[in-house]
Amino acid sequence: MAITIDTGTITIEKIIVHSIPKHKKDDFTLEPQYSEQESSLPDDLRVFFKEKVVQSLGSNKELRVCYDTESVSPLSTHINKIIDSDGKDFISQSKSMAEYLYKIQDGQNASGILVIIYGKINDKSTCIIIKLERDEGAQLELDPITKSFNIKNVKDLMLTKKTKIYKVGLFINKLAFKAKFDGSTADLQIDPKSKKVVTTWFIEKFLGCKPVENPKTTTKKFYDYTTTYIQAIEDPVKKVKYTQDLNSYLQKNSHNISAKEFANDYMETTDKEKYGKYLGEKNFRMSEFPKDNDYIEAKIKTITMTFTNDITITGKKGTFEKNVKLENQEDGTTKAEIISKVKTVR
Amino acid sequence: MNDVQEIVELWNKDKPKYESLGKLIFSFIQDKITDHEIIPEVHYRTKDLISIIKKVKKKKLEKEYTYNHLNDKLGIRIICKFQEEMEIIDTFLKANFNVINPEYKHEHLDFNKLDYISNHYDSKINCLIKEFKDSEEFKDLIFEIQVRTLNQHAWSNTSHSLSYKQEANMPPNLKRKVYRLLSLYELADDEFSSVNTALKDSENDLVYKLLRKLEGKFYKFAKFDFDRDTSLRSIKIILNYFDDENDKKDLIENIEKFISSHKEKITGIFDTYRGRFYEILLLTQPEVFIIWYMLTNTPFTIEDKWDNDFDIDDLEEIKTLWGNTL
Repeated sequence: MAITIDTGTITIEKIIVHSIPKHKKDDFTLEPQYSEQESSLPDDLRVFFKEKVVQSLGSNKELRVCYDTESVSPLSTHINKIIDSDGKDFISQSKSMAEYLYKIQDGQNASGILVIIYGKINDKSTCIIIKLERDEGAQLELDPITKSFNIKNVKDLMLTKKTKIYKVGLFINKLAFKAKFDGSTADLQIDPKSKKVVTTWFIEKFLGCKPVENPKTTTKKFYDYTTTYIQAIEDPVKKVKYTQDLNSYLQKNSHNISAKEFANDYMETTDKEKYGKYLGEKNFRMSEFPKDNDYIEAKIKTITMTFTNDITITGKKGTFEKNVKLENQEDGTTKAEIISKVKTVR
Repeated sequence: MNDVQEIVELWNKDKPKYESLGKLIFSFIQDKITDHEIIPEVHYRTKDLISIIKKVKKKKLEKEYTYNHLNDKLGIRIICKFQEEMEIIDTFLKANFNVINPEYKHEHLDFNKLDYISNHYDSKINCLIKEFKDSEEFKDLIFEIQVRTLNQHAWSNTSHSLSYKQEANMPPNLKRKVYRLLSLYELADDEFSSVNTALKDSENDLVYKLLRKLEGKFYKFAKFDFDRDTSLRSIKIILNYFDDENDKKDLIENIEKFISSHKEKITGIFDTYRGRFYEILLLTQPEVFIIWYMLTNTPFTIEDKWDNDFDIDDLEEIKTLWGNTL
């Protein structure tokens, strides 16, 4: 049985920072600034970084990942060396990660700060990678004496609007946890008002990871479990509403979806709670995953309501809720009202 | 050298040791007693020189008595709220100190006698206990620990002010008044205890019942007291969040088990923020356990409704401390 990986138990032992400038593809004239030493970490800053990691991985944006064996990214090797050496090989491996980031970034990528952490989660080694994307104006100075960055300055940058995005990846030795995934990631926009599309560049290109499960399978599981839950609801009007909502939600123009977002957008609190418990029993997580409707496309286009008197109403996406008025009656039956011109009768 | 001069010299030499020992024992008791889910008042004092001289002189009139016979040069006093806590403290003291001579005053009283009934323990530190390992230099110093309830303490202080002693030559009518008062203090202790037990088991007031379940746990982890009015108000609001009565019932039945099963994590959180509790005020109230329970078991209920009554940032902070399962 897998060991629980609880972010509340994270302890940060070592932290190092490298600064990667924005540069054009194949133009390496602007060089990164690498720390040669770990940054010193007072207790309040240790807590600050822990809180940032916990918040990110507790958000709806959290995604379980595994290393993609087809990826050319060497990150998994560096991460594993840090974890397996219990952080002894921390500085050189972190630098190699920064070198790789510098190599694959092009003019599209903002300048970044790479924060690598070695620590413990549930008393077992973990490596945490935080990438901050910052405006050009946000400067970070390498201390020439300690050959490290002042971690307080990194905190200050994270609290200003000059750093708009930060991305987090937490990695473990999956054998030690008997887990099916290598890590957990989150892309976060510090300013939620900016609607910048969250890319998977960090996860795929840099970390060399992919979602732990095929998005088509996850989307189908989400659809199937949610449908089963909705079907078990006694109130027919609510059942129809949630079915319509599910279809609409799955057809929304968004790359990522989550059971939590679906519940929050459409369900009453008591139903959300039961839904959450039901998904928990099925080991289906509430957090975000990439949507792929391939396996369920046909199912979400129409909604069919069959009455016990053998009358059936079928509606297409978006038409049902607008044109069929449903009302529960005191005797337990449901009244359906359709006001329209008859098109065909077969 | 005369007796007094000898005592002065001895005490000048010993006092700093007893002061340091007092500090050490005070911190130890304050820190560890909350593990037993109670939070009594703890005080310590070293005896002043004049009192030492007077006591030795007085005792000498009765028997062979020197400065070295005096066992209360350092006195530790533990004042608890209820009688039943005295038993818990008794076990605690015997487990953590070398108690040479425990004295239970009530055991010496006949059924028809009334008097001061606290427990006294002549003790030494136990150097096998981790916190005393490095204090070998104090291992032979004897000190006295007094344990009493608030009522016993009130009686002791009042009677001291009245200079009352049973043997004092007091007119019978005044003596009778004092005895009547003393019986009231003893009765009050009994009555407070039975009310306390009844309230703990009360089914009528869920808010109160829940708070009583949590307060001992809170002392254990936080090691300080909390604001009861705030807790009662917050718990009442939070319990109203449950639309499903079964969820509320589950919370009340399972909260203690929940806290025990997350003991290490909760200890870690409190230890991390010790000294910085002002940053997260919810951590200073026992309702924080209810919030963590709900974030784990009924997250939507608390997340959907919290904003109506409290600051959403406070919930986010508490949520971050708790973390989540990956």
